[in-house]
Amino acid sequence: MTEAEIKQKLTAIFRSVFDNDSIEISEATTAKDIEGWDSLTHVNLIVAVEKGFKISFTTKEVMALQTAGDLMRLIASRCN
Amino acid sequence: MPSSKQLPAHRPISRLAVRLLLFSLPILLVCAALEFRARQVPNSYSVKRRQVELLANDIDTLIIGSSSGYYGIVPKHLSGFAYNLADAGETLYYDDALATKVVPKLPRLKRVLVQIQYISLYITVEDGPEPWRMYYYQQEWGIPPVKLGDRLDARMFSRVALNGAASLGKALGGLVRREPYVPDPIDDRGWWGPANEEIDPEAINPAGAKATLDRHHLYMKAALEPENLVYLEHIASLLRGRNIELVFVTMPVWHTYSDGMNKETWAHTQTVVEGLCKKYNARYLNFLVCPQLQAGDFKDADHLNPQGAVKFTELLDAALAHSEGK
Amino acid sequence: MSFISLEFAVFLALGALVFQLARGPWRRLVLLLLSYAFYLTWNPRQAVLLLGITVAVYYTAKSMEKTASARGRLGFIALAVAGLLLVLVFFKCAGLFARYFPGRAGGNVLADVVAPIGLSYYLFKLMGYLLDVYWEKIPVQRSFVSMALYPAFFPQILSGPIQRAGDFFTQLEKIGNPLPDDIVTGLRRILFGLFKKVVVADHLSAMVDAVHANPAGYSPLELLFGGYCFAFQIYADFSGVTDIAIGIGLLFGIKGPENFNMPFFARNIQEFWRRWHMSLTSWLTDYLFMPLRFSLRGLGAVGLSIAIFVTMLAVGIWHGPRITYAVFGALNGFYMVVSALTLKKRNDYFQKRPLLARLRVFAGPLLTFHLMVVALILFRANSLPSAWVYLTHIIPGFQSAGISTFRFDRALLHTRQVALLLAGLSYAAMESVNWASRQNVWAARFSSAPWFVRWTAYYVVILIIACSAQETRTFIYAQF
Repeated sequence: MTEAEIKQKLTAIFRSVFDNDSIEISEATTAKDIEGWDSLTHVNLIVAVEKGFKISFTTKEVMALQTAGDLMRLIASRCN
Repeated sequence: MPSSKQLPAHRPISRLAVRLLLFSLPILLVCAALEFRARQVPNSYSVKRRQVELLANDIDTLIIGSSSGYYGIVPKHLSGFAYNLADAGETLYYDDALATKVVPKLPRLKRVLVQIQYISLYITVEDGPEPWRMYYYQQEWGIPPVKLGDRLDARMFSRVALNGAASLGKALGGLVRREPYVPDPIDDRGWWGPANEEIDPEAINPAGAKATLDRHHLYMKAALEPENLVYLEHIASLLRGRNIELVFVTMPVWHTYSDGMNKETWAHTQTVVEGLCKKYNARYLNFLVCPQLQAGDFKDADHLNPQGAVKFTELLDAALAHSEGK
Repeated sequence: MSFISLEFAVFLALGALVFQLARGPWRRLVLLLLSYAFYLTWNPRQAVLLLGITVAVYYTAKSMEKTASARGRLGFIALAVAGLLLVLVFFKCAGLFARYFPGRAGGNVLADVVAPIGLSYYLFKLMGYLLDVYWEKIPVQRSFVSMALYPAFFPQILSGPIQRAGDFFTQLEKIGNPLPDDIVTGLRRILFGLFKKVVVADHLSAMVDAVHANPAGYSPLELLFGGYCFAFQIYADFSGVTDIAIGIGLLFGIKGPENFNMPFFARNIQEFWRRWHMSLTSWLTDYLFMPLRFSLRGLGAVGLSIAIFVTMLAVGIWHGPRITYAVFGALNGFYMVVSALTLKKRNDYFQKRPLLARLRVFAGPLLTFHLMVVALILFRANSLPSAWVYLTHIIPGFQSAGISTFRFDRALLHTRQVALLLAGLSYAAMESVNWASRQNVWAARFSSAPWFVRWTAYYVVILIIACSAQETRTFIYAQF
């Protein structure tokens, strides 16, 4: 998948998990930027990403995530 | 890294420092005034220190010990010129320290009475029920606390710190709250004065005695014996070295107290004292059980009241004279 | 040395002065020496333990970095975390072991084991550091001075807050001249913290101690009142201590994390725990809850519930090996699980009913507050049976014979009318100032007021604190 495709799909997942159709994500987006993104919903997001992209992450990889950009790169490394 | 020369940024810091100093000035002045005021309030330690200084050239008998002796021995009823340096809650460490300080200043001193009670070998002030006394010993007599760490305590230096900052409010009106004592009515020979005190009859009956014993047993620790022995030996050798007679005295207690004492512990203490007597050529007058004293002579199970103190002192005086003749 | 003592004030003043006079990298060393000097006044042997553990963690992190293989690194981190946990458990439970198995080999030696001061705080800091390095969130700390300063940093060692390694080291790098503003802010926070602790918290303790010593002897109203008082007491006490800790840190240019954010205004339990003892809960969230939740993600709602419950249980047990703390944690776990599972449904329900939603604005915090009062009764109780008596006797009808439901006996509560009024006023004053300081408008107004206005305010507060000071009580949270 290309970068743009990943970003598009991820945006859709964000919008669905956080119940907000106007969410836009960028390289630097963090939990502070999105309402409702806290420790409880973070895992929901990861689970949705795993299901949506049909991949799975290790705990270590997830813990190291700081921004949406990190997430996109992680997805890319898994898909290719 | 910026150079370490004076940067403009330093000036705001020094201005701040000046402002902080100015801010603290009124506080420091108030504290100084309160400290001055607080030091003027007498307590048993300051009173006794002044009395001893005043009477230094006259004293030939010195009484050292804790509250039993403080309340129970009336110097004016002893032959010669006696002074009662004992104080409530005093332990052997302080007995020793006071003896060391005071004895050299008394040129006429011939005899020292050191009081030994049931609890004497097993307690210390810092681990006892009234640790705040160590601050008074430091402030009034200059006797440092046993533990090094305690020396850092502000209460060792400041009366305001000792009496509590809470006293600030009241102190502003000229009174200092939370004195350790309502200053005792101490007579001019150091005896806890002949105040009209309400004697609580409950204090000497078994329940009262048990309460006292329980409290004593709570604070008595076998581990403290070795250090207390050192202090005892030091007093004995100090006096022996100056050819001053040493007399150990055990003050009377009411039977409700002595019945509850641990027999082995007390026997051990007596053995220790007798051993010291042999070693240092001292005497031991054991008045623990004193048939001549009645219930009406006691303030509580282990202290005499003023009437009983007079009676007892006369007995003590007789015993001292009697043994001397031997 | 207690924070609230004249000797500490002198220590702090001198320390701040030496710190100011030192230049550049020397400042970190000054802070380190100050921190260890402070710790030594509590217990020299435990200072050796602290140093030893710090050295071990320092080298573990460096070795982990050098290890190429993922399994090797996993080995290091697993061993290190296990080791640190073992130390924590050992010290916390040694006394317990000695009590339940007296006479067993070593039992008597264990009875004398005392948990080192600040153990829970500095072990958590070090564990967090190692995990952050393992997860590659922060680089390995190369400077031993900085590494040693992190767990030992004296403003935070007694009762937190638990600052993250990354945040601390970043601030440490920049340690230059603390801005005069930081120092003034720091001093203000210390003053405010002292007010909370000495004027508010200590004066609530008499009533709280009385009801918990003998719950059966009090009426439901008195017990309820005691419950409220404890909630306010522990809030004032701990937030006061945190303010003092953060204030002291600011004097040296280090800003610690906040611990409290008007917790009793939280609208639900989840929000409460995001506003109460924030540095601990966020630590447990990041280092316990997240990994656990992630591992259990396959189990859906059950997995979520387990993760939440375990985390809250950890919050309780962190306070000590007492059954009351464990039950406190478990109860909060239960609250949180129920809240988490039903939050969405509740939000949907209220969205459709705007009138009820308006009521919810008041009812939410009120209910949450009362749920926490119940939990805190457990926290404070002298024993589990005592807590049970307390909680049952609050319910009218269960109280002991002869005690009427609405009796309010001030003498029995060891308080007087004046004291009650003052306690209430001082608490209200405290929360108002707390709220105002968070509003930029009020903060700006105060800062720009003429100097004699501000100084008068400070003098008045100092006078009130001085007049209220009782025998120095140790902080509730220093024993953890």
